[in-house]
Amino acid sequence: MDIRKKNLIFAAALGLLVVVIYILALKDVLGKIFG
Amino acid sequence: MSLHNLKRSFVAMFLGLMGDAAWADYKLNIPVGPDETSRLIYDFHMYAIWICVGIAVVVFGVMFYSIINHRKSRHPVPATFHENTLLEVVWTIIPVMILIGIAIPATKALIKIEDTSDSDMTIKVVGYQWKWLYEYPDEGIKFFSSLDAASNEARQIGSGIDPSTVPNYLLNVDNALVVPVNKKIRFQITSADVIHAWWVPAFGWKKDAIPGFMNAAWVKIEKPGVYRGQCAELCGRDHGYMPIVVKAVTEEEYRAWVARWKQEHAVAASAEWSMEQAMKRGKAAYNTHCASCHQADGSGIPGTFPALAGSAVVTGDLDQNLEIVLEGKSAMPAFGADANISDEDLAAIVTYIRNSFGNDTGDLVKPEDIADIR
Amino acid sequence: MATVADTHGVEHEHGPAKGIMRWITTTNHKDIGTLYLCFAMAMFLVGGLMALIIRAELYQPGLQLVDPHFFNQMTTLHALIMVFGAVMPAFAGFANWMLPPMIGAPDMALPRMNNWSFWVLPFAATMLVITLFLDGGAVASGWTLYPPLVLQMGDSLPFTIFTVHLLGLSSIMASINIIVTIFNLRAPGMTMMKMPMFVWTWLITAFLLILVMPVLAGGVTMLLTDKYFDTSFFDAAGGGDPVLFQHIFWFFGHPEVYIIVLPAFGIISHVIPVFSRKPLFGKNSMVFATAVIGILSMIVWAHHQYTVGMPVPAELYFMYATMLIAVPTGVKVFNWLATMWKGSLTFETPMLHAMGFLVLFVFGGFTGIMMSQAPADLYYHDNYFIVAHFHYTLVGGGVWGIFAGFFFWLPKWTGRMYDERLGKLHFWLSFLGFNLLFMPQHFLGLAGMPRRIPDYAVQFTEFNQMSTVGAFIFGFSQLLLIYIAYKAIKGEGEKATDEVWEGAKSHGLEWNLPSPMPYHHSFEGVNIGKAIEDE
Repeated sequence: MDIRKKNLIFAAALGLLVVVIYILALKDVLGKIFG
Repeated sequence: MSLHNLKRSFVAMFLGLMGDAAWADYKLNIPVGPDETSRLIYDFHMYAIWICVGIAVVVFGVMFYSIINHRKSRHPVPATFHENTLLEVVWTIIPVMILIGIAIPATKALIKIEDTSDSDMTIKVVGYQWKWLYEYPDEGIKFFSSLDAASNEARQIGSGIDPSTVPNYLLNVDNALVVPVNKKIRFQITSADVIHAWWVPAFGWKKDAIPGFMNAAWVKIEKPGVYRGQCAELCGRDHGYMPIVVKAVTEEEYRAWVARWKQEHAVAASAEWSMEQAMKRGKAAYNTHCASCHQADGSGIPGTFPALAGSAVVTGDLDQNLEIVLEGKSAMPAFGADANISDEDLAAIVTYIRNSFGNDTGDLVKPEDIADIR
Repeated sequence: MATVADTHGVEHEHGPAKGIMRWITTTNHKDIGTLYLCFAMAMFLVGGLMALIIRAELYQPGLQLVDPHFFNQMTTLHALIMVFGAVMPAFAGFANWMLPPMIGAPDMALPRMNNWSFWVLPFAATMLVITLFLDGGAVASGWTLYPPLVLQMGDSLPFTIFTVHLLGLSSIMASINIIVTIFNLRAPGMTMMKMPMFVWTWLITAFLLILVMPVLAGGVTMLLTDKYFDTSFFDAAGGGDPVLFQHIFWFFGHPEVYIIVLPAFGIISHVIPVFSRKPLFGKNSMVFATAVIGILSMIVWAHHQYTVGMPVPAELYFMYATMLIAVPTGVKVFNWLATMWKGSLTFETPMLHAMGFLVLFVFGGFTGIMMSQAPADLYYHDNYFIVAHFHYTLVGGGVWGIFAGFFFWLPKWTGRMYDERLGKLHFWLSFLGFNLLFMPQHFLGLAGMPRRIPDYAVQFTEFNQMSTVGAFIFGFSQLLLIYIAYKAIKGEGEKATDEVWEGAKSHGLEWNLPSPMPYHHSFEGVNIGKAIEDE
């Protein structure tokens, strides 16, 4: 696999992990706004 | 200073902190206080220091030996070893054992210090910005304790007063907490606004004062004396200016103090509300609640806290003046909303400010006036 | 900059762009590393100035210079700027410069995101400093931002929260870049276990950042909604709890201090072997110990909260867990000592700083062991003993690591040796100044002086005066550092060899490269496979 593609996939996976943690950290705030 | 000598001075400094109570004067080490919690903490602290000294001697000893004896000029051919599993295991296990040796006494000490059961009396401590409220629920005693007037004057920026001329500068209050010796006192600590912390170094521990929650701690003072402390959690502008003074007295003196306090406050409550009485009470209450911002002489801090001297509000419409005091304005809290500040105090304060600092309205505000406005 | 030599052959016509656009649009890891380091130095001076204001006020009892509210703003901003503006970007600068060469890679995996990671920082820092000029001044709650106090702050609060979000994004993007680079761009033969310690410590640091920065973001967002959108996460009257914020903050805050110190550990693991002319002792254990420190750092946070009124079993748990971290940390210290043992030591400036690190950080570690003990911490908490401890570890550990790395690698970056005499002078002035500044603070704490106060009882005067004198010595010595860097960058000083330090070739790929490193294609003409084998 072309290295640039591999880099983007790994970055996306880590980015997804970050997003998940943001959501977990903010779920109560999001709950108040959208709940 | 060479690294060798530096190591020596560290060791000397630690040795200088030896468990001799003479060194535990206010300068260098934790005080050995007049109660068990303090002794537990002091003893444990010294124990930990000695262990650290021991480890330091070994670690820095090896390090400085190497620096001196393995310098290139003295040791031109370096060894090549770079692993040794047995050594690694040994220097992992030994620290674990040392830590266990520290953890066991620490656990015992903590359990003892946090055990507030079976107390002889309870005192409630409420942190305010920037003073303490003390309450003796069993006696019906309640009062505020703030920075004493002399310190408050000296601490103003550019006051020109040398702090060393003020006795117990920043560690003195108008109304000290009076407690009996040899009684286990349970403190119930909370806050009326932001997080504060109640700390008397002589007792060893401190405890956070958290709004909406009650924390508990205890002390059983064995020796009469005056013990001073400070707020220990950043709580705003005057965090450094809300000290604590605990006066431990014999049982008889304590009972006498309780009786005197009740008598004085009963008298105050029943007396005719006169200008003279209002001014006297107002001045004390003003110094407790208002002086930290508006200053003892009513001059305020330009740009931040308005001056009361010659102020349009204070010399003008009484109702408007009362409204600001009761309901607050911007950074000024609503003093009418605090159940611990009585209508008598509020009436006295407003009377006082309208007739002091060069203000001359002649108004006498009565407690009923406050109740009416509410 | 003339010093980063362009050693292309005629096939490539492009070199670095000219002028300011070069710096704004660069995707080159060396340029971005330089940007981070220059920014960090500037922030170090700004944060340092704030510290000098604090220490100047504390020179004598009584209030001479500043209003207490302004003093609290200084305390708050000093910490935020030093942690997020100086130390973390400095290590990011080292990561950018050194990670690709250390693993045989041409650049970072995501060069454009690399550029963004940097440029967010000056913007965020400017916004933070501007809050000083808003109505009510900057946030004055301490860098820990505890509610309810922080909710009393004015307009500066939302800007500060926004700054924190931006700083977090910068770190997260940089961390993703670092992890992907390390996983994907290692040269053939560079297995994970062969990677040098600086790479390993940054790998673990990057994972810590990804895990905890979003949590901080969550916490400060809850502050925002509590103040402006009627939530009551931290307000008991609404069913919330101020202590909840503390848990969220320290869940980030404790790993944060390891995020600061782990890269320093990595640098020391490079410097000591080179100047001992001996391989790092126990490389595998060092990797393992670092990983254990990283994991443990995430489960000990409430040792910052022993006085809030936690149930005793919880206090005991956090105490035991915190004590455990001493074990892998001790292992690292012993391994460094074993590296020195029977080596052949010389004490050029980088090694002086490494020795300084060992003395200062280990000393800070001892006070840390003392503070981990909950009963004793009931005394130490929120007094100057704590202030002394964290400066010995964060500055003695983190900043001293930065000093060591800076002198170690500067010749590789600029192709010129720095002035060794001035370097040594900077070390001794800093070391002396630092100890004079912070050693007395241990005694102030033990004697009962609380922290975050602008004025104090008269018995604390002498040690405060010593501390202030030390602060000015330490602070002004850093001007010497700037001068040393300026001289080397300008091209004055002896030309550096490729190896720079005697015997360094077998201690890292970077010492097989030319000094200065070429702008592109660092490894052109170098047999990477052989260099890796020879390590």
